[in-house]
Amino acid sequence: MSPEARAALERYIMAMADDELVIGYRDTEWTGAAPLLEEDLAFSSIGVDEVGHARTCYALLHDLTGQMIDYRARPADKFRHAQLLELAAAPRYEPSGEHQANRGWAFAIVRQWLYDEFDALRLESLAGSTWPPLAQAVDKIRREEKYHLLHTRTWLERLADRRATAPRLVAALRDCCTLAAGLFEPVDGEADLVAEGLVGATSDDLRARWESEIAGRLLPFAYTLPRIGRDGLGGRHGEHGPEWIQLWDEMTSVYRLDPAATW
Amino acid sequence: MAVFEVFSQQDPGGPFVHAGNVVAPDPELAAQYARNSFSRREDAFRLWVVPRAAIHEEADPDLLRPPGDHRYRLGRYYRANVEKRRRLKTRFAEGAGAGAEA
Repeated sequence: MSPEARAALERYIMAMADDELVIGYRDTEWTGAAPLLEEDLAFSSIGVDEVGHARTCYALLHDLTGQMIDYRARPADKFRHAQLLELAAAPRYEPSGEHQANRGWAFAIVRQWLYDEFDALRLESLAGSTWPPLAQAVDKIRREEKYHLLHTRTWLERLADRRATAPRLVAALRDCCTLAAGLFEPVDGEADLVAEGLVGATSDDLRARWESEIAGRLLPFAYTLPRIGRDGLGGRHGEHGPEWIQLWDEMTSVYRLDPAATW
Repeated sequence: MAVFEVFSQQDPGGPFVHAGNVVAPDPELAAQYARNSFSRREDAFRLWVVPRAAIHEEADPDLLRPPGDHRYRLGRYYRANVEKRRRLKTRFAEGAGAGAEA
């Protein structure tokens, strides 16, 4: 592995780890707020799976660089996740009695579906990586992702099939697709990764495959893939919005009380 | 929404044991929810979800616990006979042995 490729691989795995951590954290916010109790469990456990995948990826970075990654100790602008994933969807009930509705369930489940379809293609492209630890980790992650796709595709069908929910699905698809370009923003040095077989596909390849997969799954319901905007870019370089700062603040608040504490 | 009863099989070929229930709009989602509640921590080999409405219950004590003495219908009632037969067999064997000697 050339030094340039190694540096790019570090950025690539960091982006993947942060994607998983951030959407996983957002998913777990649905505990107690999903449309039914069973879904609280299902969606939160999908979230916890994603956090687990993030841990696997941070461990890979340790193998690659020899440095431990403690996400709680990283400043907010060092995170490399796509901006779409940081947005608040679950309603929030403040102790003061204030209630923030946020984007709601349709947004959360559609975002998770769009992300899982993307993640499946990303993982597929890493399954034959020339760096064996990555290929091995991906194999385990893919088996857990099977449930995510099964579940989110089932929800897509249910939302699309009912007159009461179809408008919410359409709105959520539009809102998510506006920012979806951020998922396909390449890390610096992507060409080196592909040239050395560390990663099997470019971000552009993934995007083309993802667009055709999504369009194909919407077709039976006579929906078309909304236009993918040019918003939502910058996450892979540490640019994020105010909702990320809020989330980062919450995720790291206990750690920052006493960074020297032993856990 | 309907209640689905969940049955879990721990090993291939083993019995399906009632594990609990889930509320879901259809069998497909019921199975997905059952997987979360009844297989994530203790791995199951297979799960069944059955709409509660499809279960016909029988709970009449006159049918299930008849008041009469029905012990004679149970295998264990005949344990005394088994014992008797064993004793007779032994005696016969001893008698036969004695006959051969004579």
